[in-house]
Amino acid sequence: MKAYTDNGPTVGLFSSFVPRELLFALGCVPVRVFPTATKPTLAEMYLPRNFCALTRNLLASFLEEERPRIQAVIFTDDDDSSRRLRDVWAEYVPVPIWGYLEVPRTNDSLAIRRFASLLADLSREIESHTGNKLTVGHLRSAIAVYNEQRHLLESLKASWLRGNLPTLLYRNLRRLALTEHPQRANEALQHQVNAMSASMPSEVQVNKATDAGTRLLLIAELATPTSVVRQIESTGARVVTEVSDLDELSVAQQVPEKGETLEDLLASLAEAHLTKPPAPRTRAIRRRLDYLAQLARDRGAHAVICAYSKFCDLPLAEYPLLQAEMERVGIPVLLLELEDEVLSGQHRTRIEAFLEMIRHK
Amino acid sequence: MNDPKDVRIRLLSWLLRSPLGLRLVQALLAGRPQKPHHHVSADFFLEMARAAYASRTRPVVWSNIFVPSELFWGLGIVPFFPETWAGLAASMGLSALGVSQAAALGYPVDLCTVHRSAAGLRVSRLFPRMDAVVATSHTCDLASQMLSNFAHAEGKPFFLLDVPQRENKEAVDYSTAQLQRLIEHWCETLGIVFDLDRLRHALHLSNKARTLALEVAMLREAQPAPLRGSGMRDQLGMLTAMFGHPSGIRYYQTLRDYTRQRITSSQPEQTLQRVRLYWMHLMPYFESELLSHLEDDLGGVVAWEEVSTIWWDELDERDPLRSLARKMVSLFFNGPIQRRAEMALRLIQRYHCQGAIHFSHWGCRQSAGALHVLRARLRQEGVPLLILDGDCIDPSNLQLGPLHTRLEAFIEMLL
Repeated sequence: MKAYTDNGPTVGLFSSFVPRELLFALGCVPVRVFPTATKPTLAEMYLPRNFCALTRNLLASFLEEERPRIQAVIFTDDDDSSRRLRDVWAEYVPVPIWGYLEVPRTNDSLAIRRFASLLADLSREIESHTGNKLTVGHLRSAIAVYNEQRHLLESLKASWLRGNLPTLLYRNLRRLALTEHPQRANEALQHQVNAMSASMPSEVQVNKATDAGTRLLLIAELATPTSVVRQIESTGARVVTEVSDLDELSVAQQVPEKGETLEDLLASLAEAHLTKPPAPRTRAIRRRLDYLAQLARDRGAHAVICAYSKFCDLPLAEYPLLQAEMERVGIPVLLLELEDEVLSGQHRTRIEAFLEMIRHK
Repeated sequence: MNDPKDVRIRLLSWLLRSPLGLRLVQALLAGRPQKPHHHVSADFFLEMARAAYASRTRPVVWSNIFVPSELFWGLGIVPFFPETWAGLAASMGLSALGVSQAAALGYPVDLCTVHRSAAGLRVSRLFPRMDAVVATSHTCDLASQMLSNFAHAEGKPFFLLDVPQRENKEAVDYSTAQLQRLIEHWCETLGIVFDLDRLRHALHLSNKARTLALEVAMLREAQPAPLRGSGMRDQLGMLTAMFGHPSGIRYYQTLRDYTRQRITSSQPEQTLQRVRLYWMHLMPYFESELLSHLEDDLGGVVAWEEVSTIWWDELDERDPLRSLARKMVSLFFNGPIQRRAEMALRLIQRYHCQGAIHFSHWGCRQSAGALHVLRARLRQEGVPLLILDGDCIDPSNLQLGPLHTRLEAFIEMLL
């Protein structure tokens, strides 16, 4: 395994539906792409101004980079924005596309079978680029690496929820898991877990917000901008869950490693990715609202902040139903439509006013 | 939510739900000077309205426009397409109502006005009953998202057809299996009885209409162009609702005869014809000076519209579900932008167009998202593309002054 992974190409992903295990087993280092551009200006030459802000920022990030650390990317058909980004990317970004993975929007047996077959197609595409062959042994080992990562992240989440790990550190660790070589990331996560268990709760840096403060559920696409989290927690409120690719929308359950054949293992990966908590793209509104309401109850959330990218259709179109459902059970909701990572003065005021309103309820 | 003071809403709501009211509308429309094919389409939509609003004999299924209409007609289901009816409402000057009601529901203003307007019109009780909802996942994210919202709001079953992007055997297999499941789901939830022969008959009707529509397409190659492009703005509605219904045959037969008569009598609908153009995406559904300025003042001829294109092959009546699956997957809006671009180039050549215009409807990410790539591809073949930003539903979002100026400069450049 190590012989493959140390010098393998770094492959960028735009979706949480691409099983990283598959790429890792093929000798690649799969990393989730986060925007680095502060403004989407460069992308506006290629994408309309009223196009998903996150997508524009992602494109701008690559157009800005002189020497991208990523050698190739894999696209998915997550939504209209990602489909069009792929069209533009193929023409104007000097980072090759190594694969296009169609991800079913349903999760019945038909969809799982199809997804497993599409994963097999993707593996053949990657094989043609890396020259590495997908084997049962490599895929099983890769699944084990990511299962270990899931286990470590669950452990860190438990610490964070107990208030033993600051939110920003917890989020940084989650981001590291998505953006670094998985084995190196696991070492860092393990180190943090060890540090947590070696310290008494009073010795670790405890989140200032107590359980008595306002507890918030955040909803975003890729991740809530750090500036929003910082603003929230600076007022004494506490983030208790984040429904985004960074956290709750990633595959948290252990993927079975025991398959005898590649087909078995690919089917396990397909099922794990299609049955993870629902995102708006599944159009399974009832399931999604039930999931969010349950999560809000489990974490004792007092309010919800939706930190969506401006012009990002799917979550924005779902919003009125989400708002109605939450308010029906007495949980107020704030919608922020964000252009980039920077929080405007107006957004700051709205967050402050919202939290103030909740405190006085 | 419904504004009781709006007389138009109360009147329309009554007209649509009353058999007497619908007869009255039909009589009024029959007496109006219209083109012959418009009488057929008006009768067709009134029949749909009667079955959806005033009658309770057949189930009404709400759908996006890319679920093949043959499926509904072949199963004895009345389809209702909120997108199409939002366009119809815009042509009646009701878009402001739909959009404002959608805002009251909490829909952000940056979402496509077609779908926002539909959401607003639904709560204004301008739409009929709903027994179930179906949507395809391809082409437009928002259509299926909004339909699933509507189904949720009314507690009705929703079925998503997950349509692959690639067009290959596996994609067709997968789509066929889903269509099979959809029919089983409807048999269970709607109590319909699946009759294979009836479905085959719907495909037979569809194929006959398709042959006629292809004849219209051939006639429109003529120079001067026999028809006004602006008069074809309703074609997407026809293409996505009429096939599989006997009206489809009547409509395209009438349109074919009308087109042929315009050619043989040397009486093109548009007298001033200076530059032939290919129109991409939609047109404003409401009366607007945009198209009249292009056609009557500048002599721009919309020789063909992208959305009038029959994109699917003849349907195999022996294997109906597979044929319908192939029809969904092969849609030109589906998949990468190259599919649309290559179709545009073929049609531009076929209709001897000197340029193309893309009407970028506000909020439609799928159509406007890769225009830079599309423009570059057309330019490679020497075809200039003008991109007009506007709105096909909301007149207040169509800035005529700047659009006229851009049209004028474009036509001048082409001459």
